Amino acid sequence: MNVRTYIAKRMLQIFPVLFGVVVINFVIIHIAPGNPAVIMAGGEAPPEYIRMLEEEWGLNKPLHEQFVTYLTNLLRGNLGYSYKYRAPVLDVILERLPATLLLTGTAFLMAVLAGVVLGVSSSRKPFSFEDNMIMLGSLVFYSMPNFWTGLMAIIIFSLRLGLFPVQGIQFFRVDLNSTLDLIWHLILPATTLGLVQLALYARLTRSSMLEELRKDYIATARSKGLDDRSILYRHALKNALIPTITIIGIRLSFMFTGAVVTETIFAWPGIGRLMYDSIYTRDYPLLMGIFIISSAVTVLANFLADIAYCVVDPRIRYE
Amino acid sequence: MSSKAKTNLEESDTKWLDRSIALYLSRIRDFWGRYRRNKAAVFGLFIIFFFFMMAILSPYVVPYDPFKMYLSDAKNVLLEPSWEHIMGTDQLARDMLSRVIWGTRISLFVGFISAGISACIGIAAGAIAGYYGGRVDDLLMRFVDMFMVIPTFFLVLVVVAIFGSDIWNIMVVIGLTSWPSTARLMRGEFLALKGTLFVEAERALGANDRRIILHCILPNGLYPVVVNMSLQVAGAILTEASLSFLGLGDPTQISWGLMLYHAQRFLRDAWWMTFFPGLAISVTILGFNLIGDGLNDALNPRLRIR
Repeated sequence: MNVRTYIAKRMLQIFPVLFGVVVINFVIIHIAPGNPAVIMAGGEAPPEYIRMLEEEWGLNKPLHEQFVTYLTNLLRGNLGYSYKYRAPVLDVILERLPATLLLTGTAFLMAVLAGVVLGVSSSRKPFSFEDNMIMLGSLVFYSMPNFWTGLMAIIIFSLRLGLFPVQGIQFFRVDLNSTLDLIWHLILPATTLGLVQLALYARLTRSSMLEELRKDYIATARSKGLDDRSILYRHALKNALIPTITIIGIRLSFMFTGAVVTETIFAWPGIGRLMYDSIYTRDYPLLMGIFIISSAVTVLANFLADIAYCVVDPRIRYE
Repeated sequence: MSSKAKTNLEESDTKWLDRSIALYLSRIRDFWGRYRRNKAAVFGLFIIFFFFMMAILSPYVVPYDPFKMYLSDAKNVLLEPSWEHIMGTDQLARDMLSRVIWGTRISLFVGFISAGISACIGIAAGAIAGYYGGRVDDLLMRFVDMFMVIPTFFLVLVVVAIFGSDIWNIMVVIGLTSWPSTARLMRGEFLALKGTLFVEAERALGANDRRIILHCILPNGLYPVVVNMSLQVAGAILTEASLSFLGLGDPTQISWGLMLYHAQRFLRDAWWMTFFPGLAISVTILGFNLIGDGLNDALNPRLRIR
């Protein structure tokens, strides 16, 4: 199987997942206590508005027709209307998505780079002092919920030491000053979000490195007189990264999950914060829209991770 | 013929009973011997045992009434940690130590019930998918794949926001969204074991599907599920804490996440309101993670041959 066929085949697997997400949403709307139209309208909407929704989404027709209407509406990009923001749900979400992608992307990069480097240096001398410290540290950080890490970071670094701002940015602007300001605001939330993942990646990299370092080709490399650094990074790490990449792909959705809490704590204007607000205003269409969009984003990211995986390791294609 | 084989099977069962109990005990001793070698895992077990005792004995060990607001004296509000109040007091003059101890109950309760629900569904689904294969397997695995990819916490949020944040709702939703990893592990074991010789032998003796699934494959394939279980408990505790922290917890219960939710407004004035409940969550999760590591070392047959 060549790469192109693999990509095409893998792409086809995206649709059942997204279809499943849509079905779940549809089921929730209909088994929720009360009238589906009220759920789809969200909090404090007037009755005329609810009747209008019933018309638009065909809520007085049989169930299967309703589902078809629901599906076609979603396919047209109509995720519903947020009564609170007086705007289509999709627009509200897309406006907030860049902030979340910036936060999760930064956290993700930090976690992967630092986690892999720590894992490799930990595997160099197993059970040495350095290794034990890194593993103990990563175990502790892995167990800390990120809302606690975030709150403690604010107490220590912002309130006591005054190093970082307490609250997040308001909006994006593109000039040097605001970029520096943005980075300054980004450090604490990104670290908070990345810390758990960092700890996980460090542990994973260490264990798969240890497995690789026992193999014959490493002994060959050693006997050729290669130095430690190129054995570790050029030979062992290449193979050791493969299991790590798999987990990274799976853990992408956890990044999103973490973003809700992190954005709430740091008042970061992304979709996590939006979700938190929509719970309080009972803006259900927005809430469900966020679930759909974030699922689509993670499914897509997962797809890309799989493609990267198949490029890195040609063996995967032949499965 | 088949009925005769069946009676043979039953007879041998009773004869072997004593021996199998002895075997069972020796297996447990064996397991404990291997588990004990991982000092961190023993420490984890100690942590969880400690929290477990706290949960059971909390009515007897709390120094103050965790629900009572000692507002008679305005000076009792937001007291710093001292000998009288080891973890300080909160904005309503309630003793933090007592509340942290009481919070153990809800966390462990949610953790075990949710993980139990998820284990039951996951084991059943994985066993059926792995044993029968075919269409059922395809469908179930698609479902599992979907749950592995999508951010399930968002789904939990949606459901709890719409259906209400009653503690039973929360536990059921966590259970219903976390079973796929168990199902996947269980399926893998069934696929690996269903073609082995001892299963063939059992089938040749006339055992039906039910017997093969329940008595033959399940006990042998349970180890990854057991390891996964301790991580599931940790995950459920974390999810409940996150929900409570976002203000979606059951407001009638004392939970660590809810305490953190209230503490947010007092970050500047009362660090202890944030520090201690979060520490309790972290230590509990650490305990379950350590146990998971230890169980993996002790039960994983691949690691056992050394």
